[in-house]
Amino acid sequence: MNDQRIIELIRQGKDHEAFKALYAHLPKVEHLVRENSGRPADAKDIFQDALIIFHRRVRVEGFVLSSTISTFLFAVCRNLWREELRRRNKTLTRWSAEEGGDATVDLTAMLAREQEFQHAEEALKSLGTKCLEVLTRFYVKNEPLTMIAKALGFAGEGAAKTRKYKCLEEARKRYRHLAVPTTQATRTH
Amino acid sequence: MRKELTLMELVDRYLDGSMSGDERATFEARLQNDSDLRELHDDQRNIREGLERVSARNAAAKAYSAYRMGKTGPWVAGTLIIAVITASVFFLWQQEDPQGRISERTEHASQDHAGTTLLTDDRSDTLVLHIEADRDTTVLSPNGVVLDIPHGCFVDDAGDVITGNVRIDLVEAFSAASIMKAGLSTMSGDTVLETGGMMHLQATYRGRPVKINPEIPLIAMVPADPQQTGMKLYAGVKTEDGTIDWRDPRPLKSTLVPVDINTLDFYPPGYCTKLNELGQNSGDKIFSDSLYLAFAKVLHADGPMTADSLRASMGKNSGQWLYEAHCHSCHKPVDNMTGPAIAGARERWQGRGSLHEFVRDSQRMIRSGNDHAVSLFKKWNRTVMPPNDLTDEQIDKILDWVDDGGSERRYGIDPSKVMTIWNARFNNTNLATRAFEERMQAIHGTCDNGVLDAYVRSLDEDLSSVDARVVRMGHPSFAAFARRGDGRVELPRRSSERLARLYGKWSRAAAEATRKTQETFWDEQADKDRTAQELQDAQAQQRYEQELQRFQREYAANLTSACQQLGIAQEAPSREPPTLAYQVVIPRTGWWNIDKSTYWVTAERRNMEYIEPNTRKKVTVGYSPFTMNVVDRTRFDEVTAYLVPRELNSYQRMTDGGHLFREDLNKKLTYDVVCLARKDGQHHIAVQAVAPGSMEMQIDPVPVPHAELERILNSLGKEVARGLSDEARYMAWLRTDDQRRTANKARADLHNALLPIVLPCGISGSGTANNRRILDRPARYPFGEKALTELLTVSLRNEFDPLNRFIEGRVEIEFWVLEDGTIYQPRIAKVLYPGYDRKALDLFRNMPKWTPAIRNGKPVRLRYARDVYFVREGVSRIGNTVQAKE
Repeated sequence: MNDQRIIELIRQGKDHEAFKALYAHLPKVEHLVRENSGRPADAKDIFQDALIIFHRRVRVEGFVLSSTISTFLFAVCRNLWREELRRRNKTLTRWSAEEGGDATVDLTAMLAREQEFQHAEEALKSLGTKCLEVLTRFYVKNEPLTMIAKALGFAGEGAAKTRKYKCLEEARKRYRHLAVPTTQATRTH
Repeated sequence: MRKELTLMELVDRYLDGSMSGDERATFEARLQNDSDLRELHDDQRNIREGLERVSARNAAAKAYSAYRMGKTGPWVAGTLIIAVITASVFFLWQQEDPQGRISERTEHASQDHAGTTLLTDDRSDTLVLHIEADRDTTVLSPNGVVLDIPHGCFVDDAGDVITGNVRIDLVEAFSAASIMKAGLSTMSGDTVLETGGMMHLQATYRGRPVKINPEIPLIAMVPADPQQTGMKLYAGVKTEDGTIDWRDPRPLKSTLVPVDINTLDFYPPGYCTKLNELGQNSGDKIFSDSLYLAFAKVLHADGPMTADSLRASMGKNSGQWLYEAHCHSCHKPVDNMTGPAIAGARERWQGRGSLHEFVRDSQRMIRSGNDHAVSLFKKWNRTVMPPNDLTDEQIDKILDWVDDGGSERRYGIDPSKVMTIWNARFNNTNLATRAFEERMQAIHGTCDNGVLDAYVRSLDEDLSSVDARVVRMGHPSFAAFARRGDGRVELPRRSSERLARLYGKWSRAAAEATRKTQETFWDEQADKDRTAQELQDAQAQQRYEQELQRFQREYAANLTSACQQLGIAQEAPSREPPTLAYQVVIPRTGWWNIDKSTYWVTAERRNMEYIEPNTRKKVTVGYSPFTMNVVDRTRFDEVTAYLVPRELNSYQRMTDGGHLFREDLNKKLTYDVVCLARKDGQHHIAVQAVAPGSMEMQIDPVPVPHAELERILNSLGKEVARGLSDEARYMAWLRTDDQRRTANKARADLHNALLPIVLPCGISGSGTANNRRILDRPARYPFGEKALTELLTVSLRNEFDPLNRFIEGRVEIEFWVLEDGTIYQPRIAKVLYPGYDRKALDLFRNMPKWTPAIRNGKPVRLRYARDVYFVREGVSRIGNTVQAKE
């Protein structure tokens, strides 16, 4: 499957197919991680993060294919893994030479922004499944409130709306709880 | 809230980009000035991004499983592999044939080197790879086929492993166009296979085709999404006219890849999470394993229920016995098995013929042409129900028993069975696979030990065939597993039989060992409780005697002093002090009974001042308040303080006010204060004399070795020393024992918290609703409800508790009341504290027969639950109602 096709799939909302095709790049990342004191499970995790970052770029930021998706994913993974190793007080020792210099994307700024979204994601995951479902249906799947009310067994549109509001409010509260300390820290510097 | 809601909607519209130009400009201006709104906007944007991430992550996780799933279809191949993937996904492959066709292949292989692929001249479809055969290589083909080429995978004709550069030619034909271009047919004999694609792989080393090492096969992972059932592997045979005919179809099973069984999770779902929630460390495998195993005692408390015990308890003509003897092997009470569920059979047969006739000889009824009988026979795969000679009455008994909800009770999967299989002994079997791990989670959900048995006893079968059997056992949810077509881990038949045989033995042994360990432990604890009670009683008695002695001496001293002041000869107190206290108001004037007054003053430790009217002599007996402060008291585990009046050769515990110790001192006596403290088993002591008239004191106990402690205490007088060292020993013991009991209580709490997870169909789970029928009369305790409530309310007066922290609460006991009123198999459904649990159980074990419950005019067996209350003396429980649990 070529890169353009994958991007089209994501734009059409066929994430599953796109991701499945992209997982073909996982072995390379596994190799990188294994060579740098990691386990295959680590590779799986960072690759998943990279996929999500890629997904956002395609969806929101109108990804322009300046390199191949493979290069992009690999570069993101390498950065994520470097970050992870720093957290574990280790450094990256072995780089595959041909992937060494990739400057197509400003990864550092991008990854910092992703951190914010990561907090939001964590906040959302800490909500109940019902809340998450209401919000996902409304914002991600763009389902109308009447449909949501029916699917989740709320009394009506009004109830769904109230529920959505409450869930969003709670998500925001938890998000601030997670995100604000770091924001303040940045300000004082 | 209204305002917030409106704002949020506004932000949403902005983020959606659904604002008009003007509105947008206004909003953006507002964003500039209103920091709260900006914050809301930022948060909301980030949360929406977070939502996208959540769903993207779910999609990624699913895609990953699908990607892994595709990897589970490996096959071994010779020099030549041809695969066809059809709409219903067929894999076709051809094994090298040593004679016959080999020359043809070789020819093609050389042709290939001459610049053509096997089946087409079009080289553009060929992927040529050069790999080092002594290294692992993973290749992803343009169509998403992943080839895992392990090192040592290729061998030459002599069977020697090839190292060095191997060339691999891969031709894929996945679209209809490329299939046609490659000249491939999709015919299997005369049948057309619907084709989605094909693949051809050939490996050569120095120009010669090589074989694949059967020991180390090359693994191809073909994307199989949506994964479909009915995948088949075909051998491709080149026919004379040059086309490929696909032959020899075999169902394609996903081979199970065994992993180390210890890396799998066989616990009930949520067990580790709950453990962590409760502040335990689920990562401590030894702890969490043994804790889990301990739950086996719930299921094996009375030993396994055997046919003998059944017979003994209910007689050979009871419904359950008849069911076990005649129906059990093919029917279940409320679930379908080989045959339909028994429950509700009467209703189903209403107006369709005689159910009794059918049960006795179904074949005769089928031959007679009864519609319902025939349709049942067809529906249940023409399984013949063996004829029998049950009487109508006996059949009714079985049906009654089933309709009364008398099915064998499922609590959950037996931990002793789970721990038996979750062991290295079962490595390299079906059980040591991720596939089984998933099933294990589902098995816990069924609460049916028979399901687990089915898997363990069929290690030489494909998982999917066991799945199918489990579905027939009445667990339709396992159909999803069956559809996956999971295969097996190859295991010699003898090993699988041996494991299946030993499984029963091992799990029984594990259950028995657990039961014994648990019993030994709690028996020990019960012994300790008893000893503790004795110690406590003895100590209380000693304290009482000591206190009495001190009081008498102090009284005597006060009386002596009073008599001296009056100048009269003192008589020894002639009688025992009264045991009841009267409130005495001392009159200003009048006649006094001096020894009685002194007695009360001594008892209440207050001042007495009395002027004898005749002699004008003044008598005073006085007490003054005194407080003692221990320096930095919190550094000790415990502190006690005693007053030792030098004149009396006795001692007195000071009242511990938490912060300060206080007591009133007799003005006529000289006191030493002895403070005993302990920290981590180390004794500390301080002895300090109270200066005359002093009201308070600071004291700072210092650590002393045991011998030194004895010496210091002895310097206070023999009697005092003996009493105080007893006190010190007792306090030390008390502390340890308190820890022991706190730990036991914690064990009991942990048990209760985990019980609903480990045995989810648990003890308080409800039966099947449709079996509920109205009773004519519930079972009753023969001496009435009030008497039962009294019996089940245990007063704690005599129960042990050294710290006077009574453990109050209830123990829930479940029990059967059989047809004849016997209490059968009482079990603890909710524990409180071991000694109490045992006591509660004993109450039921020794209970007289009840009046059985009556339904439709006949006695029936029913399961009940009752609470046994442990309460402080004087508290009565009313309204402890009987709960029928069916």
